Amino acid sequence: MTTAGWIFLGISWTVVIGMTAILFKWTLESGDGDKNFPTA
Amino acid sequence: MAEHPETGTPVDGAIPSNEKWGSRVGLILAMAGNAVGLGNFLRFPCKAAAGGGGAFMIPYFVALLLLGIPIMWIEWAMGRCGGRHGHHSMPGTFARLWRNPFAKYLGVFGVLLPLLIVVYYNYIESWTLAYSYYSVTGRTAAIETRAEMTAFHNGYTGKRGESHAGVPAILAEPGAGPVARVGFGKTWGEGIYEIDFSYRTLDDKEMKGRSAFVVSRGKELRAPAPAVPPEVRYLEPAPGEVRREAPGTIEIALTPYVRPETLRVAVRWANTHHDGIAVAYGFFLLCFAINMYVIYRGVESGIELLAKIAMPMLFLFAVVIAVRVMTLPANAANPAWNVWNGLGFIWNPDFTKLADASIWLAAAGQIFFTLSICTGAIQTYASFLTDRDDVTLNGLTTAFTNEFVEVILGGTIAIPAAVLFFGMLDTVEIARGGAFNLGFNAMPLIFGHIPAGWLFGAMWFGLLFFAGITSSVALAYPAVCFLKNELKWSHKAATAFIGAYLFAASSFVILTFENGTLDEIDFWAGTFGLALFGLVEIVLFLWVFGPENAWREMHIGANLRIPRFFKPIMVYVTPLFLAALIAVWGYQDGIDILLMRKVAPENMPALLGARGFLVGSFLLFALLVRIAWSRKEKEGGRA
Repeated sequence: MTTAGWIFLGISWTVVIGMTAILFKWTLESGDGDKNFPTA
Repeated sequence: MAEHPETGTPVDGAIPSNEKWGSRVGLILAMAGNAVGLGNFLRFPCKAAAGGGGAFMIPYFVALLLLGIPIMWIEWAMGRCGGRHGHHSMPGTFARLWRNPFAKYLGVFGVLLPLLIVVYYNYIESWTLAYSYYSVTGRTAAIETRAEMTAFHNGYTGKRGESHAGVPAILAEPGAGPVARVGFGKTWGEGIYEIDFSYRTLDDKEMKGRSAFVVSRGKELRAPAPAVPPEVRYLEPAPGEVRREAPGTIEIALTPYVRPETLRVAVRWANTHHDGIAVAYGFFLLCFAINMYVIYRGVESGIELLAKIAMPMLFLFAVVIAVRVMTLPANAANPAWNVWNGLGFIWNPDFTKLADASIWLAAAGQIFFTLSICTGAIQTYASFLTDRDDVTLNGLTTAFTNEFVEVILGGTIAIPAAVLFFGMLDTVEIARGGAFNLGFNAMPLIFGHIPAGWLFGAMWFGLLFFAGITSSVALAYPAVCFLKNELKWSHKAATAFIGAYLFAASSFVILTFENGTLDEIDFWAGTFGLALFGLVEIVLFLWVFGPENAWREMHIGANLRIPRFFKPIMVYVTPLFLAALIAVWGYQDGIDILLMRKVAPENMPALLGARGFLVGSFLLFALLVRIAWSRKEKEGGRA
């Protein structure tokens, strides 16, 4: 694994993990999870 | 005119479904389950490794931004728009978006294409169940070479034998007389071999002979009474040398009494791993029954419950296997064969490939397949939402959940493990051999060589099963909804009809698998057809329904405002991307497939049968659409 490979892996993983975590957080915050759906 | 009980909007003569999602998390997991499939773990690593490693990820993320996410939003919004008017499948939704009698027939593709994918997808899904079972019982662990694993898989799918006949090349061996050599296309391995030969002697006598031997579990057993004439002597395959990866070659030493130019050799191989397709068919029936049961249970108690069980299990299994692979020690014989170099295989960038247009199209194709867009399934799932429900944030979260499974988990398991066990060169060959080669041939061998491999093997195929079933129920559901809402059938009757259709069609594919019917249906329905349908739905939603209406529709009840620059992307760039995919797939493969240029004569009847089935299926569903809309016209609804 080259340095450039680690850089690409690092950027890609950060983008994907970061975006997934942020979006899930927003989703759960804005939709009340299981409680009031689908009226939230 | 009838009105939707919740929204008060006209329902176009359709019966609005009383089904709904039980929770937002359940909806996202079900949508993610639809997107996450076998391709996340098998197709992505192969494409990334072949497409320039880390450099592949640049066009990959560009395609996600310009193609995947816009279509995701379009389909969520389009589905909810249809559901508001009582339409839970594409014929009704298209008829709503475009007031033209032709629109509902275009919508047939949004019901039929996903159903056609299920016809063969269920069969592949059933392989994962079978291989999970074989992992637990140790059946696949007993196999030691890729050639044998290929023979095992071929036997499982019903390939019972191979035949090769030819005129041998005659080689002069100094001091030892002539040697006849004939290539045998199959790699030596498990099976029963019969070698027939005939030749004429110097005094013009015709001689014939046969030799037979069995290779079983690493041992070669010569048949007890082979009629090998005294004039010939086998050099190859020699006893104990038949379990090699190289393609088989037969070498026969001839005495001067033989006229070498008259020698003819025929080789037959019969599979000993499986006796026919009874086992494969049994696993298919089990898989099919589970699928139909989930569909029969409906949205909340079937599909959503499945997603809530299957998706966490999939995550758990994938994380456990990824950790196991990443902690495997380097290959003792070749320290360079290690998981870090395996990761490098996917992530080391080759920037020269960025100038290659085919890499950009390969990345766009991967995004297209991985998100399961353009199938009609997302619209059906989204049609159970109301105007109070968000589609923009949900759609984006679904897309990134799929990316997490693909980029993080999918990229960490198969290819690094393959490099560790087979080395870089063989991994290139495995990746070029395609996703099934990686998943069903290389991976069982790897799990057969690590401690508790039976458990990791069962988990690997278990996660593939979960990935598969959450996709297959999603793909079958638009057809069930079409029959229920447009033709007013009961849920039970609709499920029974779709079940009977799938059972008959899948049986045809299973019985003719060796003739290439699966690939034929996959190309027309699962590749070319989907891209074409995607283009049609975008044109209808963004151009006919109108960009302003579409934009407004997406933002009803939205928790996330889509950045404005996505509007021109959706209107112009996304359809152009799809048009490029259609043009390239059509040019590269479509013309040859359409004209059947590479079809062997013995496969022609089965492939013509597959085409007849495709056309017949379209006519059947077009007729059902005609019946549904005729009824609505009679009842005073708007067609």
